[in-house]
Amino acid sequence: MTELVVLVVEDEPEVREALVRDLAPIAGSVRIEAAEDAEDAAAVVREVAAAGDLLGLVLADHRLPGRTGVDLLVELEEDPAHRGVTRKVLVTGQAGHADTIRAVNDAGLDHYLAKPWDPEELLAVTRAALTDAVLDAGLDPLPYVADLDGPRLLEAFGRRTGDR
Amino acid sequence: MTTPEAPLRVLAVEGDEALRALLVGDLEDLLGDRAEVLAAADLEEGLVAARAAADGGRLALVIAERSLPDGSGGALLEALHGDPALRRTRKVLLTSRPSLREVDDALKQGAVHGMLNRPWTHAGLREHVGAHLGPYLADEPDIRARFADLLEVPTLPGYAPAGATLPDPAALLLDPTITDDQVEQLMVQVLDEALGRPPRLRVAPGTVLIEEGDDVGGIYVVLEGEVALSRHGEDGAHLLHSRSTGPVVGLLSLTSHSRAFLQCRAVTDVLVIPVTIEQLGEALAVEPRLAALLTRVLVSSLARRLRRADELQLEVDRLNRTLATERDELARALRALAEADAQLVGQARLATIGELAAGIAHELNNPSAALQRASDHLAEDLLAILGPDALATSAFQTARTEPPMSTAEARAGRRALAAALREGGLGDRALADRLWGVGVRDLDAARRVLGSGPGRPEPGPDVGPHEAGEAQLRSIEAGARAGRALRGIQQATDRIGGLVGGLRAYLRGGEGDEPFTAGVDVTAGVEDALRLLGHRLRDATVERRFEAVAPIVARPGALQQVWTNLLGNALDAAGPGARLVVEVATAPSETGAAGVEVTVADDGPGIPAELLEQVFEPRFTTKHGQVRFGVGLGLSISRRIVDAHGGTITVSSRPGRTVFTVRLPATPPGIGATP
Repeated sequence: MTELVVLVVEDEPEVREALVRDLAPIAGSVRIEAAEDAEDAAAVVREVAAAGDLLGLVLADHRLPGRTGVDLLVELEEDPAHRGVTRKVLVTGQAGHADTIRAVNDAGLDHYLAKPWDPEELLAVTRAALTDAVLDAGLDPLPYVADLDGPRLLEAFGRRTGDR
Repeated sequence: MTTPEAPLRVLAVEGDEALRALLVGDLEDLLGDRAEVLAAADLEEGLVAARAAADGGRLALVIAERSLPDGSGGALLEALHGDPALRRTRKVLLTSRPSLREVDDALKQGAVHGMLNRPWTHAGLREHVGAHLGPYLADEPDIRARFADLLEVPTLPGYAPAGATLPDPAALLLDPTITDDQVEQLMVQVLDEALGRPPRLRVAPGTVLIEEGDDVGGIYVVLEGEVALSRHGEDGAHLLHSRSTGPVVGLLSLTSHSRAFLQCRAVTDVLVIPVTIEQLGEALAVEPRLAALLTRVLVSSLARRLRRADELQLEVDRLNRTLATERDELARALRALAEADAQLVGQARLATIGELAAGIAHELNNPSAALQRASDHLAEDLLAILGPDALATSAFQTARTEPPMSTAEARAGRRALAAALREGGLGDRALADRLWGVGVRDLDAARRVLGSGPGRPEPGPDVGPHEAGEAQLRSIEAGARAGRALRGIQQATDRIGGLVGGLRAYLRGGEGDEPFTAGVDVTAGVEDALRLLGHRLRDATVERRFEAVAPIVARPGALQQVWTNLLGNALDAAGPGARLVVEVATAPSETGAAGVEVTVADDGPGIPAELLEQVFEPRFTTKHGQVRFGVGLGLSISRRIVDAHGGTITVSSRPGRTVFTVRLPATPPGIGATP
């Protein structure tokens, strides 16, 4: 079965753990991966692709050692395998105006979460992003339906039915 | 011709009744019974009175106000001048507007002999009366003698005795022994002879002889007194010549047929001979040598003005040079001010930030301590609660204390565990993730968590734990999460504490409690710092160039921090295999006593020029969750310490050579040493 993966990229261990823990409610059908820098995040992206799984969402901090989170998201956007499918969310407390603009324009940023984040909002954003990713990838949403955005899913199906 | 016995008369024509009475009174006081004083109120009356006075008497002097109710005093005097019976009568204009332009026509006719300021002074009136009675009675010494008290000079000045022989024109033009005064005397003599002693005009100070921009109808030969030439610009009057006018004014404008370029004004009481252009022509016809005299006057006047202009040019050049110097100095001062201002603003900003930082550091201290204690207490209490559940307790402790693992390592471990679970038929990837989360690292541990335990049913043939096992796993997970959360709190608290501590160290740098001590051996301090850094110096070469230096007054502990910091930075910058050069030398000090200079040079990549200015500013970075007091904070602390010693710390850098130089005075200014 194709696994649905969320990747958390955050260099500070406490913050990373807190993000992973706040995502625990969807961990039943969704695999949560964590990376401490852009380098390791790229490794996760490769592993997920190699296993034929779906990288549905990347939650990246802006400030990372080495390449920034925005760099990472721009690379993902430029990768045809992920463009249009993998959702991108910046979780940051320090991105400047220019960086944010670049993230929106060049990385196709889907959402921006300010630190400290609200766990409810984090989950809602994650569910919506994953739902879109599953639909865009043409995956059968059934195995993940408990952890997706129900109303969004129904609406999408309604549209498809209406299209016919 | 009237008889000598005919009574002398003086006529005052003045429109204002009070002034008229005053003038008559003053004249009577002066003349007593020697002459009869008559009065008239306007032009018409004046004409009648003058003619009546000449009838059966002699009118010696008419003083007429310039603006009479029915005409000008100038017109009156002109009319009187046209009457042969009154031609010799001396005519004086009484005027409060001291410009000759107003009476130009009368002047040209020779109808005005003098101008008297209105209101007059007793002395002024007396002088005028005397000055005019003198020439009037020049041929009648007996009668003239009666007025001896008024005629302090035997003749009116400027009436030179005739008879001097005139040199030939060549001599007049070229003979250097003929002075300007002699030339003027000769000219007056020629004019007197040719024009029959043209009248002299006495004018009060301030009277304008020639107005700027007027057509010049003649010249004035200045016999006595001083005149000034000036020009009106947008910014007021400019005095151009006062002593450099020469004895004739108006000649230059006259010869160039142009309007008067300058205004000519009497500075003192002035006695002049007005000569119209027609009179000049007349005189030249009689005595052609007058041309030579005029030329000589003109040339010397031009020469005087030219000299003056040259002097002025020199003065202008000198002033320009002075101005340029002053302008440069001002510009320099302005630049210095702007720089000082920018520096002050920068310092003020830093000071404000410093105060703010001190406040925050202080305020953060308490909550950070409270957090620290609360997390310890929470750990104790959680252990008490979890106590009975050995597995949950173990998961809690593992999560709290497990050494950090990279995300890549953790991922590999989780994958291995998932594979092992699948192989052992215990569960899937999701279960492996959960077990990994509670600290399970291998199959045995997984079995312990999933399978063992008192009263726990065996797991079923299907994958996944059954309900009782699930409840057990949940409580173990809770323990692990609590442990992780506590570790997070602990680490966050440590970070806050680290930040606060760093800030406080920085802020203390300048004003630490350590007392200044005399006899501090700087070399020994540097040696100590090198020893302290011994473990880091194994990969580096350190060249010591230590001169013998005199001990100084300093805070040895604080300085130790500076040396350690500079050496540590140099090692960081140059990396493994670094080559450092450390120098201690005697430094010249402004206070006289020799100070000490310490330099630390490294062969690292250098500091980019644009960052060089900033290296002493307080800044720090966080990387991988650890607070790093970057180069900046250490250096800013060092600078505060050096500042407190009244010393300087500077840096120069290029790739391969970065040098920090610290200069310390023998005794910090304003600090007494504690022996």
